[in-house]
Amino acid sequence: MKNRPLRDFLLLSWAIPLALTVLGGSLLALGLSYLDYSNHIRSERERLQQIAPAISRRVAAEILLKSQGTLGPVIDHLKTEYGLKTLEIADGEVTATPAPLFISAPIREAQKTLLIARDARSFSSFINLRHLLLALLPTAGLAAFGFFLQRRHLRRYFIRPVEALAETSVGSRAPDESWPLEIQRIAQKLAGSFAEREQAVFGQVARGIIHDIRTHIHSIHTATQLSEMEAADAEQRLHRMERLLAACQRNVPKIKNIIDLSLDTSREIPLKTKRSDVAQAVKQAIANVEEITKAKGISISQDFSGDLSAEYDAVQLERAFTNVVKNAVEAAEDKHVPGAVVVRGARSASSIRISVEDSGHGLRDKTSVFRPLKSTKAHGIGLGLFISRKIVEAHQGKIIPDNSTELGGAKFTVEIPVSDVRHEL
Amino acid sequence: MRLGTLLFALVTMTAHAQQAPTKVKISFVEALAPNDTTSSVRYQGMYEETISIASTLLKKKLSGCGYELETKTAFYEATDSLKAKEHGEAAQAAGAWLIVGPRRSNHYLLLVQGAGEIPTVSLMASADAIKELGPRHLSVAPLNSQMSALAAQETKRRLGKAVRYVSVLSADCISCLDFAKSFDHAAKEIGLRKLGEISLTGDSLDADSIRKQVQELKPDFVLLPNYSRISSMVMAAFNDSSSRPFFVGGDGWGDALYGFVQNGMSIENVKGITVRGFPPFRRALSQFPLGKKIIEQNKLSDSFAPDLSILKIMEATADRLCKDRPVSKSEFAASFAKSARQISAPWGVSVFDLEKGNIKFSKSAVIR
Repeated sequence: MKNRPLRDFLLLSWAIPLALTVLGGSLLALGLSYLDYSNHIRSERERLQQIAPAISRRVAAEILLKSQGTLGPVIDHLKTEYGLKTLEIADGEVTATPAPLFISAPIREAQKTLLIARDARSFSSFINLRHLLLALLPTAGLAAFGFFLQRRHLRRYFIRPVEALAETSVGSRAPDESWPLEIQRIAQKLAGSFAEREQAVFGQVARGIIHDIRTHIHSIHTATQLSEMEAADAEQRLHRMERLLAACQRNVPKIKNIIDLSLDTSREIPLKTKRSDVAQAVKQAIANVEEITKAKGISISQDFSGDLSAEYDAVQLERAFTNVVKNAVEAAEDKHVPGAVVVRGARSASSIRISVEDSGHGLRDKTSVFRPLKSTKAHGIGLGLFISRKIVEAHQGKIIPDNSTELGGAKFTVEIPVSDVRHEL
Repeated sequence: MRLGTLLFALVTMTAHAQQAPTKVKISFVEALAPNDTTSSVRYQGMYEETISIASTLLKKKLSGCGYELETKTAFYEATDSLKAKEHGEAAQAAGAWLIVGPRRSNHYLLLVQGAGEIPTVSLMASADAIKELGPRHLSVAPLNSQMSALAAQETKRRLGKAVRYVSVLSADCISCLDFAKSFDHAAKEIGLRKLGEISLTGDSLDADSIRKQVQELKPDFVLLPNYSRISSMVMAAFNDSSSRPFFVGGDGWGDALYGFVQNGMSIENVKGITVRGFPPFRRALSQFPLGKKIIEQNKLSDSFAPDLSILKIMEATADRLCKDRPVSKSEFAASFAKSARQISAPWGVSVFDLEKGNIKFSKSAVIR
C-alpha cells in the first residue's frame, strides 16, 4: 500500500476482522453441522437401544421355535420395519464394533448376541447451506452494521481531524476537544509552529518596511543636510533646495504608499465610489505593469464586451486589478517560456466579470492563494492578492481562483455586482 | 354294634362332606393385538366372561366331585410372542394344573416351552407342529393339514378344470406357512398346479403391487391363508379389477365377531372359500352339553357370544376331574393326556363361502 488515502488504510484494516468473521462464521457453521450430526447419531443410537430389547425378544422367540419358527422372514421383516442395515445373530457374547450406529444386544434366552446396525449419515451430509447462512448472515449483518458505525466514527473522530491538521498548520483552524488527544497534540504543535513562522514573517516584513521607509527618509535626510550646508552662491543654494524638494516629492508618496499598504492588510478598505467604466480601471492596471511585461516579453491581450460601468472606487479597484494582473504576469514569467496573459471583461444581468488568465504553473491549492504572507514567487511577500480580495469584497464582489483550461496556468475571475454597492467613506 | 357302625358311617360321611374341595388352578394366557384395541378389548371382555359363565355353570358339578376351579387370566401384547413362554413359566411356578394357551400357533408353541410338565391346550392354534408336542399339548382347532386338505378338495370341486393357483403368504406367520405347505401337498395329490408364491411381511403391504404380480401369473385361484387384515387388503386390491381370481383362505379370515375379512375393506365383488375349525356359533353350541346349557339358560345376547373353545376346554376338564378324581397336578396331567383327543377338533372342519362381501356357512366335515 503506497500513496493511498488514510481512508483506504482504515478500510483495509477492516479486511482482517471481516476475514476473521467469515472464517468464524464458517467454523460456526461447521460446529452447528457437527452438533446436528452428533445429535442425530445420539438420538439414533438411543432409538436403537430402545428398540433393541423388543427386537431381541422377537428374535429370541423365533430361535426358541427352532425349525417350527420363521426366523429368516422375521429378521427380514424386522430389518424393514425398523430400517436396519444389519441384524445378525452371533454365538455367545460379542462386543459391537465402534461404528456410530452399531450396537449389540444379548439374547438371554438363547445365549446369543444380536448385532444391530443402522446406516449412519455421514458428517458431510450435515454440512449444508442452511447452517452456513445461519452462521454467516447474522455475523455478516452485524459486521456490515459495525462497519457502517465504524466508518462514521472514524470519519468523525479520526479522518476529519487528520484532514483538518492541514488547516491547523496554517492557523486557519484551532484544535477541537472532540479530536483524539494525539491529534490534538499534533495540531497544537502545528498551530504553534505556524504562529512562530507567522511571527518571523511579520518580523521580516516589519524590518523590510522599516528598511524601505528608512531608505526614503535617508534620501530626504541627505537632501536636508545638503541644503543646510553653506552654499557658494545663491544659485547653488537654490539648486540644493530644489533637490531637497525633489527628494521629498519622490520619497514622501512612497513612504505613504508603504504605510497605506501595511494598513490595508489590517483594516477595512475605505471606498470612494462613483459610476465609472470598470474596463478603464482594468486597462490602467495593465498599463501599470506595462514596463514589466515589455521587459519580460509577456503578451497581454484584452477583450471587453458590453457595458461595464458600475458604481465603484476607481483608485482601489485599479489597485486590486493591478495586483491581479501583476500576479498573472509574474506567474507567466516564472515558467521561463514566452508567457501570455489574457484579460476578458463581460457583463451579466447582475454582475461584471473580469477574468485574468495566465500561462504559468496554475494553482495547486486554491484555498491558500489569498492567505497573507503566502507567496509562491521568489520575491513576493504574499500581500497583493490578499489586499485585492479585501478591495473586491469591499465592493460586495468576490475573486474566484481557478485553473485556466485555455492557457494552462491560473485564472482569477473578479465579480463586481452592478448594484447595491456599499458606500463607505 | 349296628348302632356303632351306623354312627361311624355318619361321622365319616359328615367329615367327607365337610372336607375342603381340591383347588384346581387353570391359567388362561392370551395375546391381544396392540394395534386393534377396540377388537382386543371386546375379545378380552368376552374371554373373561366366558370363563366366568363356565365356572358358574360347572361349579355345582365340580363341587360334587370335590373340586373347585381357580382361574387366572393373563393377557399380553401379540407383538411380544416371547411373553407366551414367560407366562407359561409363571403359570408353572404358580402351581397351575392346566394352561389354556393363546390362539396363535407360534405363541402357543412358545408357551409350551415354558409350561414344562403342565398340560396345555390352545384355543385355536392349527400348526401341524402341535401334533409333535405329545399327548399333553393340543389345540381345540383342527390342524392345518386337516383344514387344508378339505380346502383343496372343495376348491377343486367348485372350480372344476380351473386348477392353477398362486400363493400369497405372510412370511412371518407360522400357521399361514404351515397351512400353505399342507395345502400344496394336498393340492398336488388331487392335480392342482401351483404357479408361484408371493411373500409379504408385516402388517403393511403394497396391495396393488401384489395384485399386479398375481395377475401376471394368471392363476385360477389365489391361496390366501393369512390373518384377516392382510387377507382383506389383498382381496380388496382385486375388488374393482376386471380380472378377479377365486380366493381360498385358511382359518385366519376371522369370524363375524372378531376381525372378519370384510370389516372395513371393500370386497363385495370377490369370491372365495375359507375353512375353519368351527361351524357357525349356535350350531357349535348345540353340539355339546355346556353349550346346550348356555342356550337353555338364554345366556346369549347380541353383544355377547362365549368363546366355544374355552367352554369346550372347561367342560372337558370338569368331566376328566369328576371321572378320574386326580388329587395332584401330575395325576391330572396323566388323566388329561388320556382324554386329549376328545377336546381336539370337536366340530370337525367347516367350509364357508365368501360372496358379496359376506362369509356364509357351507358345510362341516369330520376329518381324521
